[in-house]
Amino acid sequence: MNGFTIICVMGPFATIVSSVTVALVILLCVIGTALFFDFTNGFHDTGNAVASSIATGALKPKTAVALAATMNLVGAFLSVAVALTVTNSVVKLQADDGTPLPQLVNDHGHALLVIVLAGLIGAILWNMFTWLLGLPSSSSYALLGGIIGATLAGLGASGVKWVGDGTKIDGVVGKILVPAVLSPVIAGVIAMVGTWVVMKLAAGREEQRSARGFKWGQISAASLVSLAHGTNDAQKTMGVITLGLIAYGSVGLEDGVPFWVKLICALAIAGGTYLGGWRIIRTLSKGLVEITAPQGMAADGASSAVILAASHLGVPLSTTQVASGSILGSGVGRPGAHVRWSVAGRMVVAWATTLPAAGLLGALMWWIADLFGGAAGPLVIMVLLVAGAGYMFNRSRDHKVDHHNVGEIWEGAPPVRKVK
Amino acid sequence: MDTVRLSLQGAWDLLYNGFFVGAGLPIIFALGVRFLAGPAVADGPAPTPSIANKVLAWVCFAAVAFAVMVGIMIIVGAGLGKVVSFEHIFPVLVPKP
Repeated sequence: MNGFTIICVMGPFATIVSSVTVALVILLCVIGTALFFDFTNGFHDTGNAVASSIATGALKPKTAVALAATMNLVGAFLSVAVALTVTNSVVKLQADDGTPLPQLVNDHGHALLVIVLAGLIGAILWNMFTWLLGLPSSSSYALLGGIIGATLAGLGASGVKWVGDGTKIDGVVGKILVPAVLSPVIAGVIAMVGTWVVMKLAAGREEQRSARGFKWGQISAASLVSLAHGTNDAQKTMGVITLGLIAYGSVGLEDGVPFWVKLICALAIAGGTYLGGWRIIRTLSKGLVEITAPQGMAADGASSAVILAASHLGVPLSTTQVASGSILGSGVGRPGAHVRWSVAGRMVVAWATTLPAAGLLGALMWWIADLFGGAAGPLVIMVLLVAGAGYMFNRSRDHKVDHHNVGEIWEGAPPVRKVK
Repeated sequence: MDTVRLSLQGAWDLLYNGFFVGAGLPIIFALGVRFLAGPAVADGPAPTPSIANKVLAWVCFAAVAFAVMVGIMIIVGAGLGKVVSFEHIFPVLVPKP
């Protein structure tokens, strides 16, 4: 938060100096906010990989998040394949090669930086809100939703790519809406069948060796999910920061993602992962269904296979929705398991509302920034971000979920209000 | 509508490919565990698995480990702009066609 404090102190001075300084202030806000988003992305999604290992006791909660953080850190350095064109699938801020559109980069990229900043703030606020409710919603869709909303507000409907040109999977429909509906179902079906057969094979076998075997299977599958997560998600933030730097004019497109950007993004997502989004881990590990070791292995196996197959086939999807779908499917596939459909229902509502809600927040932030204008606008929305995030963090402390109570018996979602 | 058609095609490919790997590997692994862990015994120490069972179990685990290795190669390869080729049976990274 120190970066924010410095920027806030700088605020009043910045309004009276040149546009270079104004753009620099906004650029610093974008970098700080992008890293904060990356951090929330980390803790929001820790559960995808480790929920089932924690539920079955294959890993102690702290060990599980440390493993996931390490794999995320490694994964973050593996790929920047889509980083430079991260916004291209849904909005028209960049040309096909990743160059920011020329009309958006006057005044050192002021227009583009404000759109990106507003979008990031919308995404963080929605991520924090769903985390407070303990709901595993997609961080990637929150980011894209925020940026779509801010673009809609800033450039109008023509700035958004609703459908592609028909030659490849593209646009809001192809990259978000269809995969958002289908990918959790696909993962769920695979996990359901996998679990059903695995449970048949594991039934009535000698406990000790069986448990040890499935424990290792589970840890390996969870590691793979974490690695894929770091690879997929960290580069989105790297792309946003690099886009800001290019728009400002401090790096060229040909330079690619600077190493320091890779490093801070990798550290932010790994740090967030290590913090552990215990509220969401609890929902995934205890809330949806009680998880047994063979079932957990089948669920994690299905998740990692679907995530990897999708990146291999070029089909975009949300790690979170796939992992949640797998756990749900594994519950349906295990004979005698009791799936809490009310929890699943809440989760699906969060999935359905993520894109429009993050979009609305992103648009709102852009309008507020535009209302104040100059450097004051971005600083006002930064203050709103800090206030909103701080408020939700405080609310979470009323009913704290951490590594001590994450595995307690499920008696309902974590309440967000103080019980009188 | 082309976007929807392409997306549905992608979803089908994902289900088809994901099915063999995502359900198949955990099943092979579970089979390996089954070879190691004999039928449950009421009391007393669990019997040690026979050599044959041990070999079969490790064949299963090795198959899964091999597939996981290919999975990691796919991730690493994607970052380097390469794809995994099975042309020479053993997987190698080749430039994207």
